[in-house]
Amino acid sequence: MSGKVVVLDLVKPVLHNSKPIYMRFDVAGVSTNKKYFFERDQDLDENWITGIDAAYYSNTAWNAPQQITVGGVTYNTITQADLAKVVVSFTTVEKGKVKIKMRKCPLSFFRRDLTSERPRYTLAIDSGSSYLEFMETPLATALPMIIPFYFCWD
Amino acid sequence: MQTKANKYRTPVSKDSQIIIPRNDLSIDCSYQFEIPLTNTGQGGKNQFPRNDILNPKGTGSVLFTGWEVYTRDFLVRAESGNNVVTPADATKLTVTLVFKEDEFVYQFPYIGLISALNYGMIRRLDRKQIDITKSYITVMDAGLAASQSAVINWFFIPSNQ
Repeated sequence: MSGKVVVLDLVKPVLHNSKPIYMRFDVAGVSTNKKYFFERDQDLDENWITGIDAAYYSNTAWNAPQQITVGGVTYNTITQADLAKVVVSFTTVEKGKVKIKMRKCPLSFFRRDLTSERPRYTLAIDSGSSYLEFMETPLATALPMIIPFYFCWD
Repeated sequence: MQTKANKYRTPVSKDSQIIIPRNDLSIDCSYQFEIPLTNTGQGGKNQFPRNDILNPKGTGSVLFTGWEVYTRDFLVRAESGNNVVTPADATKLTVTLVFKEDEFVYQFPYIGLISALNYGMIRRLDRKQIDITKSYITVMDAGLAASQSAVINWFFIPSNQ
């Protein structure tokens, strides 16, 4: 695209594409002072990210299911309390260098049950160098554990 | 839909423009910013610490487009390991933002910036420049617990965009 003016209609965003991205943690557990990287995903790497949601399990409000099976393994969905212990850093690659775009953003920011607002994004994410960190352990969620993300892209 | 050119594609060519209405928040960069609350007495002023990401070349290095704050309900610990301020203690805090000696946001209640308590609203800033090290948090009431930090999640764009 060259010499073109693109107007993003952010007041009425249109959902074009979306998929879940699962961050999975096995029975070995998690620790602070460690980065947990996203698996590389072609859809995230090659498109504009226009929306990001994170979900948790709650038995009092609809959110994510209590358990999610991926690759034949059943994981326990992270609880609301544990979600507050997680931060995410989304990175991009510019001129061959990894650059942090969203640094240690609390995962609670991506909860949609707290907000009627839908933040817009113009993110070119590099999935394989983006990561989660845990600010506190232990977690109450039984292992193996899963954190569901839902990405939208254009 | 974007064509899938190369893996690390440049989103747009240099002579293209993306226009975003300025009254809406589009997240380009964000930064979790911690303010350790060391002056906990009534009237205590807690200056924002210097930060090389938000003002690497001084004020104006980045332009702020929005902000929100956190309590322990939604983020348990800050980067230093301090507890994030409790919801009860958050009611004792106000935030002042400064640019060129002008306290353009003066003693804004901290709880008013918690998006989860304000219908999810994220406060916008109109590409503001902020003197980070001159801005501060004021403790309005005594009895703040020790070793806590306030946390601001800044949204910004580099000033050369």
